Amino acid sequence: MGTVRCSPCQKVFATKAEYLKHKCEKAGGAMPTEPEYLIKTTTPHFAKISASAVERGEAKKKK
Amino acid sequence: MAATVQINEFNTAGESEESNITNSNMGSSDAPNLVAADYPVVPGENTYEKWQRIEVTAMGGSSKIDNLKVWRTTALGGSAVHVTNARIAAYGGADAFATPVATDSSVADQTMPTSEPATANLGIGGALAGSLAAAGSSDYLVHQIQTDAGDVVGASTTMHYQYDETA
Repeated sequence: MGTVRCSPCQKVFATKAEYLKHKCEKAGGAMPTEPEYLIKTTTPHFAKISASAVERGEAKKKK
Repeated sequence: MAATVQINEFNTAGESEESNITNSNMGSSDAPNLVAADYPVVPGENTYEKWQRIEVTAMGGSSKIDNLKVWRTTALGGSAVHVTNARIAAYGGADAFATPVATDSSVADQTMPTSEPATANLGIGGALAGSLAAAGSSDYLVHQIQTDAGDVVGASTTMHYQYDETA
């Protein structure tokens, strides 16, 4: 495995563990393990997408 | 809270990882998040392969991620073909990383589905029935666009990456 670069902030890390623990400046200081990281970078509608997915799952269970 | 999931791309012989890519644009460069117009493909030639993984960075209270499905919607331009290693049957296990190439992919030998596959077509841990119960990644998704000499510019398509999440 090579280096790991955070696409939003472009910082490069030697390991995946370091990447996962960094506070991304493009994500308002959120770490990649936090939903805010996605919401503020590549997936702004993460909350809505999640809520919608839960609704679909609940509907599927009722069938 | 839901699991946090992102797409990562791997490039060059060094397997450099670009985490949480912003797009999957394909072109004549082995690079992530590229501007396709800056790296056009000569008609009759191929894009560089994309080597990507779906990564769960945190389970967010969920117990399982599985049933990974990948497909494309909207037609490609001309007679171009979109090939992939994703498949719903005869899955050959997890492909080991190889430097992305612009010659005909030897790994991506299936046609990319243009609608949601009936069942998983990308594995976890080398199996389509695989699952994640903690942070981790899928097998490599490999895909490439192979153009025809008569193709022209202008096609734009959408990639879909889907998973099931169990609370």
